[in-house]
Amino acid sequence: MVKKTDLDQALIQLKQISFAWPGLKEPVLALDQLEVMPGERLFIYGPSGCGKSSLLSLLAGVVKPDQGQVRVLGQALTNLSSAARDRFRADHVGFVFQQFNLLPYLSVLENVTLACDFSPARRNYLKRNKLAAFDEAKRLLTRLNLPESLWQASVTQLSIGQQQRVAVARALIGSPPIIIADEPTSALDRNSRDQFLDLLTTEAEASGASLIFVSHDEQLQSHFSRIIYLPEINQVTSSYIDNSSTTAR
Amino acid sequence: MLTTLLNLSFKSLLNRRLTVLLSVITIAFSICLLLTVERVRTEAKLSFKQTISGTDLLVGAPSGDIQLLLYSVFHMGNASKNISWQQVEQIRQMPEVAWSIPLALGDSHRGYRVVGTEVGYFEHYKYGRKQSLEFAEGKTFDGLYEAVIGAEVADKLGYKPGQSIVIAHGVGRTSFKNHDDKPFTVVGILKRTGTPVDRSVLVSLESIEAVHVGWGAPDTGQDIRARLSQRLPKNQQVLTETQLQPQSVTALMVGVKKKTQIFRVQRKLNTQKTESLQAVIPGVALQQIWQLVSVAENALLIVAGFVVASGLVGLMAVILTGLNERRREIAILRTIGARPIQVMGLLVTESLLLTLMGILLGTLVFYLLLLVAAPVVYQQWGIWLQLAGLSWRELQLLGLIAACGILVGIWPGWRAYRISLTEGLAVKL
Repeated sequence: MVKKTDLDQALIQLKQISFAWPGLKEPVLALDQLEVMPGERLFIYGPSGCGKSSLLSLLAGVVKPDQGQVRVLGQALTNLSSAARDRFRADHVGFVFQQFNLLPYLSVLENVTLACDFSPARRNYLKRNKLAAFDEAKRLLTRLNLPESLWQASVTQLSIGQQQRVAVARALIGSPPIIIADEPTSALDRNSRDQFLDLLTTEAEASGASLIFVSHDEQLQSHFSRIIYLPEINQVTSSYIDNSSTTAR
Repeated sequence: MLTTLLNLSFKSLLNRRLTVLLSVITIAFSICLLLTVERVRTEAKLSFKQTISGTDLLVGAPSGDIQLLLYSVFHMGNASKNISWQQVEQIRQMPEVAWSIPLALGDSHRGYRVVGTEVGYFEHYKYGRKQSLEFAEGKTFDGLYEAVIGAEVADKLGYKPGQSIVIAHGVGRTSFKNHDDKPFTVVGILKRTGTPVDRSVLVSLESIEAVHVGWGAPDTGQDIRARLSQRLPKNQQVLTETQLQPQSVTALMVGVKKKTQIFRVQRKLNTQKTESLQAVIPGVALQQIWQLVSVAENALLIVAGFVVASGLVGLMAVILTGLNERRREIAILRTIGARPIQVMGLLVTESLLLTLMGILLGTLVFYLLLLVAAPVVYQQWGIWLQLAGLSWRELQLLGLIAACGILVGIWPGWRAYRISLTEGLAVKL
């Protein structure tokens, strides 16, 4: 499904995008162009309401833009059916949320391997490398400094920082080429935030994935190779900086 | 994929086991009720319709199809008139008639009807799937003052063969006119049949005549004390054969030689000019009686159906309520690539799993109930609830409920589907 891309070809390519949430008339996002190169560590920041969540939803293929084109890994997401986009996301994008990334009724290990259950590509990757899903999950959890005593535990016993690291392990399992993190550190204290960012960037690099990190906190930008201030490129919000007028859903 | 969904549903349910358990219990109870109603309904119907089988015609004095069946077979009510013995002889001589068994009713023993009949009764009275009466203990009567009693009579009164019993004139539970000068001896006890036979005391026609010798015509206003005082000396006499010759009987069970002759014999008897008679095909009359009660029977089933429906609606409410708390779960599943239809499938699977658990638990409770209640029901109403597996119809009902379980999941599933589409990956806190 995905064409092999050259290294210098953009991993993600957005062109003349305009997007409004279903049922709302006002677009929340309008971009002329945005490209992400393979291996890049991209930091996108801006105040809440500047279209960050909308941008991520577009990149992940959860929604389609009203206008313009989204190409990920050479594949035009805009041409795919919603089921195909879901499959595409399962196979190629690892996601980490702000908080509550885990299903409370599964154990830590099960939460990590769940990503493989929905993705044939991730399963195939593990099979090619002769890895069992659980073994790979254990390896990632070890790399992310999660003590073995917690692997079989219920996720409710974990601290928020630990939960976020489990979410990273789930995003990374099966080595998807893109990792998207949506304010994953906002619930962490300063110490664990820096520790978390180090782990995230290192492990993303180790698995060869590009990292797209979204935050409202510009202090974090030192960890990244490229910085984008979203209101600057979002034509909807660049005209006026007002947090309350548009609410990105 | 299906196993993933099943696994997720199962673990998610396990996580919410308390609320889930309650809705499963609600459904289980409703299903137990439905199964019970259905089982009692069919067993009662079966038991009723098979009260008498193998008998082609019931002959009695003209009254009504149902009435004749009620008093001759179910021992309910009384005959308005008897058939004369000459008439019985005439019927016996008809070329189409293979056998006939007279029934003389009117006496009782402690509330149980005494049936005067012939030994052939034990051969020709059939019930259920043409089952014959069987003896639990003892043997059939073959002399005067010998009685065979039904299983319920034996159980309730604690009689064993050899027991001496006194029969009373009339059918009340207490009677002042006891034939206590001529006690009967129990010689046999029948096995349970689930028919009115269980509540009968069977004696020979001659015995019935014998106890009535000296009783004359029914009460004509003569002082009863005077009659009672006359009775003793008369009974010292040796009864002659003519005295024991029955004068009349209440009804006659008739078997024909060929089934095709049933209607001809029936028409002949119904239209004969001499003594007016009525001949009834038992199966037809039983069907008519059952139709009278089928309204109530259907009403019960409908009520049980509504209880199940309310259980399912309750389940839907539980799932819908849970949905709000599970928006995050939906968002997580969406980010790792679950399609909206799979999210919907998750909820439908959940609803189906819960319904299936309800069905399983309900069926289990139903069988436990059956195990406990069957003997009581049998003792009280003579309906034998078999501890058999689920009937095809019961399985169909359960299948229908399981299908409804899927339907119940579709609405919350659809809501989840909408949530998946509109909320995208942004999780509302």
